[in-house]
Amino acid sequence: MNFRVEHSELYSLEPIGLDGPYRESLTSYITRLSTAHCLPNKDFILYLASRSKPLGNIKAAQSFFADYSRTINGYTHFAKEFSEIITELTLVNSILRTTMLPFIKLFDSGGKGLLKGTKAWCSYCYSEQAESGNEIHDQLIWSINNAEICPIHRAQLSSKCPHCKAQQPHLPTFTPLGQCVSCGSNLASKSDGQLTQLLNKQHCDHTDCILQLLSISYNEMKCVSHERTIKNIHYIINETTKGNAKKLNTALGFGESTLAQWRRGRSLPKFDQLISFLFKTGVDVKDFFIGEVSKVALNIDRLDQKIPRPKRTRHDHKSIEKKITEILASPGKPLSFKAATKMLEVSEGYLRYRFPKESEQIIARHKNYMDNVHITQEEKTKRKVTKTIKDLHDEGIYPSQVRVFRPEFGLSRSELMKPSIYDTWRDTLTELGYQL
Amino acid sequence: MSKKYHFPEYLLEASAQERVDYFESKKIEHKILKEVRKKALSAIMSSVDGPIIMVYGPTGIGKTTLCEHLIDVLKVKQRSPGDIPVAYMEAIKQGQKAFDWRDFFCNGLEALDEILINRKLAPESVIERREQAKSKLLNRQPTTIDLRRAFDSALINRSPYALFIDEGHHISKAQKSSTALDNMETLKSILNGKRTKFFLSGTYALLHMTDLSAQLNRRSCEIHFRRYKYDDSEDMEEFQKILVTFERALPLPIKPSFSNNIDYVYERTCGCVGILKDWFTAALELSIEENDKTLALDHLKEKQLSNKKLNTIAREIAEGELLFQDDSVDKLHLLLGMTKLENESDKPAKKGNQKPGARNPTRDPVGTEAVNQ
Repeated sequence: MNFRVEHSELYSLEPIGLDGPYRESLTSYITRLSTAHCLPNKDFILYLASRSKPLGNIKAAQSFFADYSRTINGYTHFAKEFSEIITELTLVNSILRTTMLPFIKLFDSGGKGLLKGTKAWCSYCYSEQAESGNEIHDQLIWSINNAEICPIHRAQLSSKCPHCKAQQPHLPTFTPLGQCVSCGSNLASKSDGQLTQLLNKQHCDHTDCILQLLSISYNEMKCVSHERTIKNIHYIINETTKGNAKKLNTALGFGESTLAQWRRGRSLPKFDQLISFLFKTGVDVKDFFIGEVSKVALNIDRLDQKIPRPKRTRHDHKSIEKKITEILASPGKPLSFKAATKMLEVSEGYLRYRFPKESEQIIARHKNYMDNVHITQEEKTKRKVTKTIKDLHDEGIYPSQVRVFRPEFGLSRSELMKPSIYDTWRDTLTELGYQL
Repeated sequence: MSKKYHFPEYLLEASAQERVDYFESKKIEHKILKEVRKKALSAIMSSVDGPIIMVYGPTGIGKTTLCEHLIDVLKVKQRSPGDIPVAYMEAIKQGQKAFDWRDFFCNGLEALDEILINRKLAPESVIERREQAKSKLLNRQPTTIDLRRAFDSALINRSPYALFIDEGHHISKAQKSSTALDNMETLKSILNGKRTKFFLSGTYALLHMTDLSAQLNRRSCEIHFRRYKYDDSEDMEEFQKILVTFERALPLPIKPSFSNNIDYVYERTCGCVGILKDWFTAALELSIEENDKTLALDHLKEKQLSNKKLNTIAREIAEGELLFQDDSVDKLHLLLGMTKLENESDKPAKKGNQKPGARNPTRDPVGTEAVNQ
């Protein structure tokens, strides 16, 4: 009997607010979808990965959640693959628009400076959603770098739980939306029930530029062309510094050749740099991408607002080299590579790049030491096994695996898994005349 | 020119299994099936009728076939690609144990093509079990609550018009009537706030379910899928037609005819079309196995149900039909206080119930009175 009806594999939930700039993000959509299916995000992500060939290597879900899940809202590999597999399984065609994928042509393909490392949210929006009985969801704009205020309430976006101060991931492994992954409390309000402070209506930051970008409709995006962008960049440089890109670079705090590269079409702008460029020059984002820029208002006040980006630390290579020599010469337990980077206060990448030979030495030294430790431990266990077997034999008890590998003799059953230990047990028994 | 065969001719050369499968899949639209289907469809689509629809009838009447017919009709009413307009499941009863809701929810989720059923975790469980280690949360089995939430969510998100629950009478089977009532209350509560209707099909035991609570009685719609009755000439005429249709559908070179044995056929099927079809299927298998060109009475006799089995079926039918008879209006009037109890004086004098020759219990005269007498 055939009772089957053709239908989408997952529920066809509609993404929230797709028509406007306050649209839902893909991580929020995935969380809502997994909650609707009564599944933890972790299982749900692994299920999606099992259904998609390009995502098939997400086996260690923990590392995915920790390192890559935020990129789902962007326009790189994971955003593309996740939106494709979800579209296929839900048969909802608009999933793509819950990411930054529609804007992929506009920015540097690496996606650097596009998304925040941890989740940000507006407590007012959460409260309103809960009060009106709507499903709690995260807006795409909240996950974008440089958007620090809620475009609806002009309130500072929260980034830490008001109760336990824990940062929140874009894609939690278990917790439903609107709850802290650490303490489980409501993210909408502080412990005293207060919401975050509202900012002055006049307060402006890059959020408005990002909002303008998100308000470009899907159809309008089809008109975007690289030539037009270059033409508009030319126009802005001409209008502000009479064609002197270097001068404008300095004024904007960019690298010496950044604008020149954009103008020549040699490289596409990084997201945060372009948004900053449009914000500081007062150019309408929509005009820049799909129209013609006719008005430029270089805002002197805005020029002072630099993009908050992590400061690049300059290392003193000589002192580090000296410390490494000390580490390599020090007697006693050698440090692991990770411990050495921690001690030197440098990244693993730096150490490998700057001191490749020394790095290898640190690793080899630690490996040798650990190998010796393992061998010693194994010998010790072998001796224990032999002694226990002989003791039991003397008492007239058959030294079976269960009798020998007991905690009271300092031996555990898991040690039997090691072939050398198993062989010791077997050989000792044979020596004593037991037939196995 | 009339058609030589009422089945595709290639079947005569086909394998035995293919021929039997063809006959098994043959759906016949008969009078009672049409009537019941019409009532059922109207109950499913109606916003007035209760959320629980019960179709009861004797075993082998064709309730599963009715489900198939209804599913065919409802399949096309899909509103969005995520919708499952109709789903089918069985309420399985395991031995003498109480009805297993966990099993029911699992079957329901399977019927609704739900993913990762053994990994379900209700959102509230996450909050309750926050203190537990994440590894414990990951390695746990879903509880009944988790499965219930998942089933609720599936009903909301898939929004089926109806969920067919075959063998629905198993839900009401419980050792205690309070448990049976609880089961029915649970079933009712699942549908609260949802537009889905439960379509329970089962034997006459389903009738006991509505007797359990007045609210359930009001919120349920009952449909009787009756058998063809021997004492009804119209029914017997229709039964004869069904027999002829089945005879024609048998993929054999020579069409058999059992019109002269209609009484025998009726007796061995109790007037149930499902039993008739199963019987013919088994007999067809035998006939093909023996390389016979037609279905003979001997084949039927070989595969007929035993008297013992038929007696059980007939007894169940008789008891069930008795149950289905509506209560008298006098009983209703009495319960509502619309009938006055007769006065004591109006009652006829009580007749003695003493044995003949026994004295009435009157006081005997004593003393001078007795002497005078």
